[in-house]
Amino acid sequence: MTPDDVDDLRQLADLYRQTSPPEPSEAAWAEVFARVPSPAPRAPRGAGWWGPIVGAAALAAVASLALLVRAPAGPLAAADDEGPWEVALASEVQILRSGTDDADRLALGPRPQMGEFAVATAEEIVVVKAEDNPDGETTPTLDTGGPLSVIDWAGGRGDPPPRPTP
Amino acid sequence: MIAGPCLMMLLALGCGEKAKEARKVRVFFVVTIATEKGDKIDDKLKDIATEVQRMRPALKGFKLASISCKSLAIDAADLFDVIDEQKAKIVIEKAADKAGRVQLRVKPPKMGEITYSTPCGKFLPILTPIRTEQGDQIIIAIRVQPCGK
Repeated sequence: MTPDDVDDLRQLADLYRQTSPPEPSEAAWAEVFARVPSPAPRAPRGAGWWGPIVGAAALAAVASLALLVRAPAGPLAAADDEGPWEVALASEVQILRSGTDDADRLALGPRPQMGEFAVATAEEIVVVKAEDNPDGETTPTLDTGGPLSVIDWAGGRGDPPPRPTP
Repeated sequence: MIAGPCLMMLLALGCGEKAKEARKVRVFFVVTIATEKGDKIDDKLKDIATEVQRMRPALKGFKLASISCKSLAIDAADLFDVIDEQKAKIVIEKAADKAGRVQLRVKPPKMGEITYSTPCGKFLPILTPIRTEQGDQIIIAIRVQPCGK
């Protein structure tokens, strides 16, 4: 920058100061403020025009997420579709307790779970060994008096055990 | 090079597993309630009811309560629920022979242990000394199958 350039800048600054309008007075500002209308009362929070839009967007996001979770995407479906689902063998399933009405509805093995309630005949059961109950004389005995086999806790000779006291 | 021996090993393991499965016996365990009150008899229990009533004429009603079903390996004991935390222990001693008979050992609650052989697919009822809170008597019935198939 040359000395001439510095002089030019000084003259430009002087001209700017000389030509700038004065600041408005306090009275002028008061008049302007008097013409500005008072602000409208503020709308309740969340009830603005954007509320429904945000709500709709959130619902759409949740619905999309649910669809993504429930419906397998293409590549996943292809991975699961490689062959028939493995089914447990009947021998691999343990039914710990079931209502008898539902037993035949269980698809385990080729036959219904309960099926016919065939009872072994007296000739078909062979008792190899029967031991006394160490807690009392309740030796199991095979009853052969009828056509079917029944093992009785006292061979049918004893009286029924006492009923439990309520 | 390695695939051949590995395949042979996998096949051997698979066959071993099948042989082991074949030696399992499926045990059905049915709990029945016999009562002196009421005379309703479940259709499936008519034959049993006739036999039991011959020994206990006072028992008039027979109702199936529950079933359970487990596959047992030979000599492996397992417990079956009877009632009120009481359980019966069953051990398969011998898998089905050529005649389709299985030997098993049963220890019902409050009874001595009994070892017997039975044909596959048929129930053996056991009249137990166990009673319900209402005083009804508990009968358990045990069936084994499919016996080597």
